[in-house]
Amino acid sequence: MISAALTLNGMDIAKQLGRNVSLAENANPSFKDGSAAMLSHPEYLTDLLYYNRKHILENIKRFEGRLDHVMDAIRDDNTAEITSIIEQASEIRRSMPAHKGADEMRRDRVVNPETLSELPEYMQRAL
Amino acid sequence: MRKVAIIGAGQQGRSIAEALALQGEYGVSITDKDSAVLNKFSGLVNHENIKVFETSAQTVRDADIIILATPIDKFSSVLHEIAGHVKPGAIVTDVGSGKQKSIYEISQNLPDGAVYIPSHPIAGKAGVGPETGSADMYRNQSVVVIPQGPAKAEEQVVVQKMWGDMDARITPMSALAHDKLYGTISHFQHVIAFSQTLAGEDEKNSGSAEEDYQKAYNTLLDTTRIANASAPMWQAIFKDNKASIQEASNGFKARLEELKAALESETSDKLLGLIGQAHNFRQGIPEDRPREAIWSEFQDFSAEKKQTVMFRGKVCSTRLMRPARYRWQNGLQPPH
Repeated sequence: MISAALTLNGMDIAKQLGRNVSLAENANPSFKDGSAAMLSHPEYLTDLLYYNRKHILENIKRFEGRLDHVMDAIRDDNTAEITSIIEQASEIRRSMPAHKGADEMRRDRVVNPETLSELPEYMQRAL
Repeated sequence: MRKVAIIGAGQQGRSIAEALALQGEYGVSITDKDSAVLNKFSGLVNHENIKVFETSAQTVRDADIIILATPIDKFSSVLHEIAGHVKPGAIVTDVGSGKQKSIYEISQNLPDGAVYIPSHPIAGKAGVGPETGSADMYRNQSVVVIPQGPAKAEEQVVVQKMWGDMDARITPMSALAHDKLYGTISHFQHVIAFSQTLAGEDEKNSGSAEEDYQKAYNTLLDTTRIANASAPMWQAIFKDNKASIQEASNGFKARLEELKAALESETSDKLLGLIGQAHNFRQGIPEDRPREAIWSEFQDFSAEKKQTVMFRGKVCSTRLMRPARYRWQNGLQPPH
């Protein structure tokens, strides 16, 4: 849902800026990563979201609380709070695996040849 | 040989210095206020075309191009230090992320006789300092150069050529458009990444099933990659481009509300419409180089567009994966 909102927001900005500023040419790796989930098949993704909506809405609420907190700190130029937020987030993110950059990250999302045997048989044949 | 002075020996300063020195047509001088950073730079980079100086005034002497590679809030003090030492006709450029703010700061303090051409490389790596820089930082990356009108056409060409010599792609764009675009797709993207990382941790600590957390984990790794960031740097960027970030936040929240309403409606049709729009738009954004095949592409039986992807280290077309879709259409269970 967050990735969808980011992508649609990017689309809106690209429309506002017109033809002279193409997002296709100017998108940065962080936007590409943030919107990468939208490369999934729309029907598959919609089903995934729709049939887990209760859980997803709960999590979005949690996320919105955090987002409002960050935006409030930015609006108020609250340097100490912004620093604390970024430091906390950085520490948590550093404890997660695989952060060698966009391309490395994508490699984590893909079918790992070592676990190929775990794929459904028809997928293995397709490869 | 064109002489380039770089003020700031951090990630961007080091990357520019090395890229230009290796190119062969540039003589580079560099400095940093922080002696520890400068020592680190000297320990990492050793090239005959690069000279390290202790002061900004020594660094800019005889320079044809002066690059400010410091945070924007340091621009005015740097410009005051170099005033009186700048060669007439020297070009000043910068790497600041908030272009309206950079232009304001530099225009107010530009030394006499110098010409300012604003630029911003859309490239960077996690972390800060010279140890995170590299000579290939700008290869195939976009560098925004803000057009300054016919009176400065010649200087603009010089700056564009310099970035081009680092193998960057030049994108002309107004300062307003730059701040709006990157306020949304880069600066606000970081706000999202910080918020999502913390919210993810909240969920983990709230006793949610580990299984639910793991389901979203791969996507979370993608969207939060940039959350490992420098607090001083991002705190300054948020301040420099606050208005555009606020605007991006409003737009994002409106879209998120729309998606939530669609998620709560009686059928999934509206949600599918929105996700479909996002999907089509995202597909139009090319990758910098062939990316690794994504799981869901095996399930994309409707995509007619041929995409070049990597699989097992080889470049191949998604067309090769199409047999999977026929199997699915023939009633086999889709994966989950």
